[in-house]
Amino acid sequence: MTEHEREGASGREGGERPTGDAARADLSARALAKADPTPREVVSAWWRRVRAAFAAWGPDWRAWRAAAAADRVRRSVRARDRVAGLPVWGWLLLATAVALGVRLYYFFVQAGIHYPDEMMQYLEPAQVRMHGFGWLPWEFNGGVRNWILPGYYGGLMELGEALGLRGYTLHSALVLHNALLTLLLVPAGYRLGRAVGRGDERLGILAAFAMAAFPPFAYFAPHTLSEVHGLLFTTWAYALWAEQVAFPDEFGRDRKAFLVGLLLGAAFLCRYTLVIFIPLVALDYNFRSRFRELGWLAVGLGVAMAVLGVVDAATWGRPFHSLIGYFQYNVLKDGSAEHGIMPRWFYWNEAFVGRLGFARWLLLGPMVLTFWRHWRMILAWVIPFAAMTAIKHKEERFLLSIWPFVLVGALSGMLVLADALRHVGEWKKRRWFGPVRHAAVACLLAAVCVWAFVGTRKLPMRWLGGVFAAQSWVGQQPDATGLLLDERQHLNGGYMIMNRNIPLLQYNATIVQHRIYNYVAVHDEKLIRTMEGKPEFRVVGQFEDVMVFRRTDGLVGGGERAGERTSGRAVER
Amino acid sequence: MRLRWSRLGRAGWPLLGLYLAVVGAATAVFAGRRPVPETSRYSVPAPLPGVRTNFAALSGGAVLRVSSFDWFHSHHPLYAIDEQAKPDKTEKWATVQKDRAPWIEIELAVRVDVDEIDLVLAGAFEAKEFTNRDFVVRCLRDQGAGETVVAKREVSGNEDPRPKVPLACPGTNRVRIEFLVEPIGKSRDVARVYEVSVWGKPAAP
Repeated sequence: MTEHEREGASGREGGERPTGDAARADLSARALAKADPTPREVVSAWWRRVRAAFAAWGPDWRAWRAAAAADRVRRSVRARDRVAGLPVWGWLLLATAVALGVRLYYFFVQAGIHYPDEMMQYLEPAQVRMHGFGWLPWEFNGGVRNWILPGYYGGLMELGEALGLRGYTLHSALVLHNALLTLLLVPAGYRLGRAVGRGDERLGILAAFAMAAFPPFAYFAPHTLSEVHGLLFTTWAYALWAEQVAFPDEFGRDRKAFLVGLLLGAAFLCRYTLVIFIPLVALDYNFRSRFRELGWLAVGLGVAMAVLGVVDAATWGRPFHSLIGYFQYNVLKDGSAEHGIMPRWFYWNEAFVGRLGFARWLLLGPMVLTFWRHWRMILAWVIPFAAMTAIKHKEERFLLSIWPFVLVGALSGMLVLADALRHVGEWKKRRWFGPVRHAAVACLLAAVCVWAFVGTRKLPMRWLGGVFAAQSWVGQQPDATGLLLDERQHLNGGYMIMNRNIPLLQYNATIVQHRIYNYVAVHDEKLIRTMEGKPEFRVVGQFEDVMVFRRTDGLVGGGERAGERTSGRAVER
Repeated sequence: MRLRWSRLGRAGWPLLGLYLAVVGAATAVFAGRRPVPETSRYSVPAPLPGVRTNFAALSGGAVLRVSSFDWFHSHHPLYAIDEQAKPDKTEKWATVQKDRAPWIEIELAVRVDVDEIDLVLAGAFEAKEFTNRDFVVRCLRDQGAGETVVAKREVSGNEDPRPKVPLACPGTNRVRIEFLVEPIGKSRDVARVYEVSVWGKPAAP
């Protein structure tokens, strides 16, 4: 009698014919013992095994579920030591090294901005608060933004200036800081993947590498955008929530639920639209009758809201002033549409088709084919995707927070399909088949990353980089009394980059005659020719495509550096 | 059953705490700042002795401090000393509405025997009802604990968009003008100054 047959014979005593569940278990054991079962036989055998296990534990499904959870934890603890010859912490260190390399690449390759908000919504307000001069957009005139992220960056700027950093070098330090901060995605991805895989360390490690190498994360990382912080908060929140789903009797569930609420609340404070990530978690707690965790989730959210109330009261004079203003402008008046209405399928066309190309099917295919294993991850990105699609004003960065769940769901599907191959064909007997299956999944992930890298290159890499460099250089000139740019007021580095309290305006043919504007930085070819034709101006610098002109009859003298001419790319990092 | 964490994983929490503590302390310093906007100091030639000059000019090396300025509309304080004869409407110093006690202080490059302070107010280029009516001009010497008010003149009910305030201030190095503004929503709820001139001769050493 084989081992399988002995297992299937539970409850059978000498000469009895097995009936009911025992019979089914017998059949499944016989099916697996066959040399080459068909896929249908594999599925049938699996289903019979599940039913037999369920029956063995009896009708108390809660006890069965608790036992299954404990079994998962035991498997996780046992598997903790090594995966493919390397300890888990070794894999995570390797993933962190990959993440660091990718992020440093994007840090050095990029210059300027991805979107004006990263300067004018966060750094410039901090600059105004610190030094008393700057330019702020309409949101800070009307109180539609809170001061939490500007305050955070203000703290970082205090540290930077204490170390002697100013202007463009301070900005470079801040974006490098953000890039390094996103390394926290690696452990978050590991915990999320391991939880989704019910203790499967392989999925955790693959998810860690996905967070490390996925180019859109690394592209957006060296930018002072609220979406970067929102991404970190939502990923960690969902990782902790997924652990609670996978290991429901885990110690510290109240603390975890509180942290989930606090992190989701923090994401909300960074970007109010990230509120869309909260309902799924709350509903899940509710439907699983985890009312205690639901309560702690609410407490965590409440703490975040209390912080917002205090900050708004201190800065705008009224608790929740910015949230009310945001709601009135964006929801009641649909004001966001004034900033551009995008087609309905913008997110699909840009984020999936444009960025991933064919690789989108490498992600979506396995995810959908094995949806029952990770349906929470599917909802985690489909719900925000649908909600964002309903809003008329769309920008690709708004969708940044969904990518961890797309990747983990896809990797989960890939592993399920790879594991299913164990029962198919002659290869399952080969020792190398296991490593080959896992390598195939890793290769698929690598292919997705390579495709996304190609797609990400279509995003602006050095938008306004020359303007930033020109502003920074002019700000260092001792005789600078005014600067004109051929960009609108919000499309430049602001006073934070210029680090000089002088008028900064958009060029026009009238005001350029006034002597207070003794520096002009333009990149439009027609304007460059116009400026070259003015005898009172001469070229003193070039930064990428931006030419800098200096007035020879300015209001103040030249100073020691006024006669220099400089050229080169935007500040080399 | 508890999930075991490696030492490396457990070390993350104290590191995170340290990071939050440092950034939190720096943010507290940031939140406590009350900066006064100040313009840059420029190197200029020394004034000719005995020659009456406008010392509150950018070309004279004056430095400005203001209580506020309307950054949203780019009404930078430097416009008040740019000696622009026909400025654009943007090219004036204007304060923000929530600044209920607007002032501008001109730090002169050298000590001056001031004899007159001239202003060009909004009515010179805009509607007359925007002209600030009430202001106080103070001549100051030195700063901080050693500060001395050399002379002071209060102006009330001014309708002249280009008021000239004769004020003898020997040995002055700072001139401060404080405006009394009307309630928010009125025509004169902010200060609007196109030009400030401080006339005098360099003080004897």
